[in-house]
Amino acid sequence: MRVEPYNVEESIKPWSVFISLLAPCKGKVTLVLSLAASISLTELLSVYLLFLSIQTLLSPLPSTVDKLTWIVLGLVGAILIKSALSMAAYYFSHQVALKALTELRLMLVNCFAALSQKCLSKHQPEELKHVLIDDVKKLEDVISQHSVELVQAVISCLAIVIALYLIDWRLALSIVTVVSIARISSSLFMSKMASYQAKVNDAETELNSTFSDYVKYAPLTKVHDLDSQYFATLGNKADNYHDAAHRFVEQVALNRVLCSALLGSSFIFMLPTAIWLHSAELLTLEHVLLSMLLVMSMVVPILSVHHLLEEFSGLQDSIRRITPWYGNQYSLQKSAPQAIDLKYPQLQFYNVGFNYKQHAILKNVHFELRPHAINVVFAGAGYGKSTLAMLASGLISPSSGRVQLFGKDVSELSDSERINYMGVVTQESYLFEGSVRDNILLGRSGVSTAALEHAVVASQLKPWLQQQTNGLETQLQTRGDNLSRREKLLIAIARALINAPPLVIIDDADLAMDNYSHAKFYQALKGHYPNTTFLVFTCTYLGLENGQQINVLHNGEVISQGTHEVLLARCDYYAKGWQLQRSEGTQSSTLSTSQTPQASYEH
Amino acid sequence: MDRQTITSIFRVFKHVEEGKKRYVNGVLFRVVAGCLSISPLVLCFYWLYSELRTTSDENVLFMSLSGYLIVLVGLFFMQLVCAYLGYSQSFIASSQIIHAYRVKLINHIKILPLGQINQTPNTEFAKQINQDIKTVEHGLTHIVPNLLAVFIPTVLGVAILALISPLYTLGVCLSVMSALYVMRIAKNKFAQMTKEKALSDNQISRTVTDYIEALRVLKLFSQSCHWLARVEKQLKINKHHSLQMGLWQSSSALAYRIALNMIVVLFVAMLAVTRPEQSVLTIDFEAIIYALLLMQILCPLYGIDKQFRALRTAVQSEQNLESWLGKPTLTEPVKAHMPKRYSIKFERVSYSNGIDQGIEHASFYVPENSVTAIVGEVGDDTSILLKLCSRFVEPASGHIKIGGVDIKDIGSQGVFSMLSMVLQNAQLIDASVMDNIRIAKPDASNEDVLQACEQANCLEFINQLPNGATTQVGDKSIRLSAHQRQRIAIARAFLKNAPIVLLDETTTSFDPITHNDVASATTRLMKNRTVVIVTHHLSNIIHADNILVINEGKLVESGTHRCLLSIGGYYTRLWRAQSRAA
Repeated sequence: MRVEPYNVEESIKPWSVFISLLAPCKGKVTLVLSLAASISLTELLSVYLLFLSIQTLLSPLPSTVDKLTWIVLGLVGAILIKSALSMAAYYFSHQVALKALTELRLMLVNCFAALSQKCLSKHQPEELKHVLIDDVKKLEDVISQHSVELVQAVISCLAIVIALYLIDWRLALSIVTVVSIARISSSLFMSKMASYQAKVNDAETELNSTFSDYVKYAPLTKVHDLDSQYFATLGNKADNYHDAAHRFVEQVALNRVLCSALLGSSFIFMLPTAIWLHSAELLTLEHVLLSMLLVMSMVVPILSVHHLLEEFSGLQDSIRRITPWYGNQYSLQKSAPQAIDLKYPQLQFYNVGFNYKQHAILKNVHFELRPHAINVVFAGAGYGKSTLAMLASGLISPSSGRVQLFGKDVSELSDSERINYMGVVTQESYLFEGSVRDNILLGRSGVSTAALEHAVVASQLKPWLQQQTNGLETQLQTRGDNLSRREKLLIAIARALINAPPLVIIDDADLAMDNYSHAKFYQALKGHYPNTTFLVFTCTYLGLENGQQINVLHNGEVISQGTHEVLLARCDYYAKGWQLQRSEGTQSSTLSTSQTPQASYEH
Repeated sequence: MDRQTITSIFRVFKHVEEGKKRYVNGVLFRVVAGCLSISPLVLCFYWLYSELRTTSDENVLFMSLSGYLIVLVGLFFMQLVCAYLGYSQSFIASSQIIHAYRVKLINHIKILPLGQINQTPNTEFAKQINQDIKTVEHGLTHIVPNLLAVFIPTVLGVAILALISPLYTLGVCLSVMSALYVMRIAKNKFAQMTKEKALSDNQISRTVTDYIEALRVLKLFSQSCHWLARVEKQLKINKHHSLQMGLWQSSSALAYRIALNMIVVLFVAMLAVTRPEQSVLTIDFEAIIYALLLMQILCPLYGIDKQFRALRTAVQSEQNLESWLGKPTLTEPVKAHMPKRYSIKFERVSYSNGIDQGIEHASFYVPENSVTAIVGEVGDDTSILLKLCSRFVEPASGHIKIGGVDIKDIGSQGVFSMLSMVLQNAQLIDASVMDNIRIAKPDASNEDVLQACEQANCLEFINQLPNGATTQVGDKSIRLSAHQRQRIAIARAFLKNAPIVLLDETTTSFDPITHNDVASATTRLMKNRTVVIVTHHLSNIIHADNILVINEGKLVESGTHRCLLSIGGYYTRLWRAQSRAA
């Protein structure tokens, strides 16, 4: 037999992963395999019983009826045993699959958890999700269902060939010849098909992405009368795909035909051989009939082996995606451990630069935080504010220079070190489905009610909570979809404040101050957490008059530092913005003061 | 194949022109090939017949070994040719059909109102459509011909069997029927099961999504271990569900097979029952043939249950696509009436997409070259008015007129040619900054584009990009921030120089300098044009000629800023809330 699955599996490297996946449940795997083997044997038994009944017809004896009755019973028994065995086989195979793959998933999840923040930034969440859900699911289907079917089919084929060999070796030879010819011819076409397949896949992805783009840009293109142009490209892509598919399909048709026709027509070799053997009186008529029955019952397993092998080879991609994670490659390599040394400044930027696709976002950012104070980084929108915030919290590492916390590179901090030394509020703070309390605590135990209350008050979350009927027990939707961005940010701030870390980094803080007195926001932070150093990123001037250390970031550089008054005198950029903000503020406030009395007068 | 499947196939056929005949031919050839695969058996019987009756019958033609070989090879080649014709014709035809179907679908989507498409997130919409087309293609190419190629030869075989012995055939029919019945019951029963499984799968995927998206935050708080336990628990629950589901599924497949296997049992049992009636010592030739044919018929039926399952998903996908094809499209006038003036008038316009608040009976008038602002609270989808005005969505009732002409009579192209839109999250195509702006007016010279940039206060940031105006931007290269994109959209509007401008500036907040840049560019853009502006920042619109206040989908107040404040209604409340903030 040329159709041996394990040869295929071992020759390609991903299969070693596959096998090692199943290694922990070796006992059950062998059980499943032996069950599958016995299923095919009982299947053979029922064929043999059918043959026996034919035999009684060929040589009628008075006792035939009794014998037939026994055969009926035997057949029923065989079918029942077969079903019971397959049920058991499926049960165990499902167990094996689910156990192995739940473990795989857990391992992957653990592996992701062990990733450093730097590695994590490199991988898209979608990519990780795809590995964890879709790829593993595919593996699960294959192990739980197809593996049993495959083994069963292969053993059936083998058993039938052996049975034929026992009848006469020439019969077995004729069958093996047919099957090998079929395999060889189809594999000849397979190699050619692969390139066509690749072309079709390319055309398809291109078509799909063009289609998504078309839909995505539809508002833009329609308004600017470019729709027909884009649509023409889409049509071209569809035509390309059609052409590629057309050529591919012709090949597939050829392959299918050869394979199924050759496999199905095992008779063409078998029947003449049998007739010849019979005429040469090497074979009795009964044996000829038996061999025919055997050959007929072989067609189904051979075809299913063919299909299942295709399924198995489709698995390779999934396994290939899992492989890099499997080896636990990504476990943290500790490079030259720098110790945290309190004599160094708390957080310091040394000539930090950051490039994104050759576009320099930050250049020579150099400053250190003033301890136990509010440090503000003031920057216009799109001038590298978020990048600097991510650098400060170690989510990314700088292209040049260093960001150090007590003398240790921030991006090298372990999770437990980071939580000891800083609380971070990122722009997209993830909120879970659950209560506000759970979201703030984030599973941390041993937080006193007082500490929670403290954080809630300091983060300005209190007034909002008082409006909610359920207070802290208010339920949130996934990603906090039922909240405004401000409320989400406030929860995230409370989350970061709760264990009173020595350093708190807040990105996009102006959002938290929307509709609220800005000065009060800073005062609350300072008043409730006097020993904490804050690094706050903002783009509004409101509330900055109260003597914080302000670093002005403009075009990726820190152009000036100092308190509000100093900057007004020293930094033109800062002063200009301040003037603009003030004029707008006075404009609206004068209007409102002049209008409000009038309104009340009318009532 | 039930009625649903047949209607689905016919619906697909109705949408396409070419390839139908070819497809039918292909399927017919497949069926013939399937029937031919029984033919070696006939030869086999012939041999048996001649072997068993050599003594008595003179009429039997004796065939030599080579004769058998020749006939067999001949049959084989016939089968091969038929199968080849069948496969290639049906494959090619179905790829043609799917191509035509896809083109039709794309064409339909092209003329759907934009709002329809954008109701579902863009990428998901496209993904879903692609997925559905693929499933339908699979169904049409493989499953339908396969099922027919199995069923018709089976029916033929059963017919032959019936000729040989009606009594035994009754048994065959009985068990095939019962097998199909089992499959049907299983289908209904497991619909429930599948739903539960899908629910649990959903749960797990939600947990995993949660976990992975939250991983960064969790790690920031060193809480990933705690959440691991959660994921673990969910995985265990899912494992249990999957096991149950898998077992049910395989047991239903097994039940189907048992029912099929009963064919053989019934046959032998009938043999046993009928045996005593016959003369004891003759060979029952019919029964032997019967036994062999039985095997041949039985084999192909085994794999059918899986194919039925696949067929069902294909039918579902087709229904989904059909629902898109059935959506009403925008009606375009044969001849566009272009208005001479550019005032905008809404006459009792209502719209609702069934999810959000929508708009009820809005009537207002925007005079030419005036600025009208639309304000409302965050929950109100005020920008829907802009979408109505630009024909992104069609109103459920009422009329929208530009310069006295209904926009239905102007046509989408006409409407688009008259207006510029500056929306939130302005889109960029993957091209240089220059080309991004030039899409507003493809024949504009570089100088024109640069001038538009200058008017939109874009030049400053464009010059800071690595390659200036020729820098590649967009999702695949450098991404611009929200305010940069908004200014590019303003530059486009300057370049297009359309008489009507629709502005949507709701949530984004900038630093004062940027804000000032954008605001001054916007003000410049609004000069001498008919402008409708939607905003939540009331301080931006105090100079507007008219302010429309929307509350809960209804137009509640209108007038200038001062006038509205003097009324002291809903607008005043909004204004107070915002000025307290500042």
